[in-house]
Amino acid sequence: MISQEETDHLIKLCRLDCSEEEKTKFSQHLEKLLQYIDQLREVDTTGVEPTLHVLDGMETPLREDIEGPTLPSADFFRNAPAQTGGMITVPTVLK
Amino acid sequence: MPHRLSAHALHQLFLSGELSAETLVETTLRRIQLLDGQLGAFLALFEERAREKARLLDKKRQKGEHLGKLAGVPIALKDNIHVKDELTTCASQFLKNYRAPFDATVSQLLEKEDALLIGKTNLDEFAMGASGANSSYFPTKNPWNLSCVPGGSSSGSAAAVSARFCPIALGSDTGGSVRQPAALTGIYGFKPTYGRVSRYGLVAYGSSLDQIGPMTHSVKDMALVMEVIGRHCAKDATSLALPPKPYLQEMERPLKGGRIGVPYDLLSDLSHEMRSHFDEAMKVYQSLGCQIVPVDLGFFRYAIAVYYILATAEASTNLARFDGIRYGLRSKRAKTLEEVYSFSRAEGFGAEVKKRILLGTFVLSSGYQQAYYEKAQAVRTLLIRQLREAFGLCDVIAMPTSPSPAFVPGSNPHPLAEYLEDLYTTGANLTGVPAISIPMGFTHDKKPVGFQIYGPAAQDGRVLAYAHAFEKSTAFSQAIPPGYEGDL
Repeated sequence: MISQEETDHLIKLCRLDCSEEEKTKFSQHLEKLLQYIDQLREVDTTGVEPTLHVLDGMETPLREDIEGPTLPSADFFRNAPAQTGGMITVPTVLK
Repeated sequence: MPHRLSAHALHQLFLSGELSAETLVETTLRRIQLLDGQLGAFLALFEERAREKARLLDKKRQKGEHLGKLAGVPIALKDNIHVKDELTTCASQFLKNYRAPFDATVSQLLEKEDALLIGKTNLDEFAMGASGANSSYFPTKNPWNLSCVPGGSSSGSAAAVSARFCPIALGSDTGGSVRQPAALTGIYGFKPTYGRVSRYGLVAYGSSLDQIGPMTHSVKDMALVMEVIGRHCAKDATSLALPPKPYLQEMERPLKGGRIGVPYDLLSDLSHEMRSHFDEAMKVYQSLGCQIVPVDLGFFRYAIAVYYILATAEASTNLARFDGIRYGLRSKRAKTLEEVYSFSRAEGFGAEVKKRILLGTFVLSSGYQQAYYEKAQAVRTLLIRQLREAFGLCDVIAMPTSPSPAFVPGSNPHPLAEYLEDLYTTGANLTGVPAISIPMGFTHDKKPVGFQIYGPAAQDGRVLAYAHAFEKSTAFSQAIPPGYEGDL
């Protein structure tokens, strides 16, 4: 049901690098999962609205738009893999 | 002796001066150091931090200063919850060196009430799993049987409370990850109403499903910590605008005349042993004056399928942030930008995480989104409606927590075996309602088993009341795993 091409495409979409062996394993696993979740076809959902908010009707108010403390740069940069002059360094984006 | 005590008992001993926070921290740390090697519950211990806090608390007490509701209580947190400056690994190689740049709201709330945060517990990587065998560091074992899993994904928190390393540990529950390990280790595990506890600082897995939930061996401790963490948070846009509730009071409400709905159709595949434990549990409620009412939750047969579509879809989005750019692992082999993304993720994520990201990407991809993702969202609506209808006939709903007790990792070759563990638990995450797992006994081979009470949305207090009533009539949650009872 799911071709090797489709698996390759998915792997590219999620930016995961995989060995050929892993690709085959994932493809097989995906196949089995899809067979299982296919049972949802049996359910008649004609005219049923999708759930967008799980507790529809309960209030989740937005806060006031007031300035407040946020994450200090120094705290953020402590986890940066590579940095220079207050910026994260990355390989060339545009050639 | 202190390790057998509940949080509220320890709090009282501390307040009275009978037990210093310093002594308590030392005995807690020593106990963990001696016994956790074989269990694998903890990924990190806050030795210095806890000792410093303990000294501070002892001084405050001596000076007669105000002390918080959790003063003197050791608490552990699942390692997907941020505690500022401490490692937050999510049991993944990707975040091996990631130090929390901020505190989760729950961490702040606990600290404010003077809790002694003692460390971070092990989990299935990025909260994906139902065993505790999917940690990229080492597996967690079940204190009741070291050859078995404790369940997951909050495996370390469950093992820590079950082994009496600390009376309270926080976990997170997306499809059952607090309740299932609680059932498998003989303790209480609660998933609050969605939005009751802030998700700010919880590393997101399935944002419409996740809730932080406490794990305890006493319902009073559960109510105590829920009073502290169950509040609106301005930094979580899905946080409910509900005032904090007096759960310690609400849990004492008598159940007389309460109606408990049981979805008998969903119990048909249970083993004889599980079914008879569940029936015995219902008899306990009947002896307390409750009525058992059959309810129809037929759509819940589809809960696992709906869950695995929605949760993985949300996960694929949530885990896209782990790109090797700003934090976490950046592959040393990467030369191009594309390679930074794909090599870092390939090296940093375990197999289960990759599988779920792939499935999530698939159900959201063009050509399939309608058939899978939108379909699942519509079935979710049917689940919510059916549950609401069922609550028209009863006050709470009861069902087992897990179809099976603790298992030996890798023993079931069925590829979806671990996923099918979630049969009875995912319904609560999909509908947003509160649900608790309650110890109901032991199998013939001494493995704990549990059942759940589901309540209507925002009726967290009612759920706790049903748990407390059962607790008062039974002694299952007082049992300590052999090898962990003795004093150290």
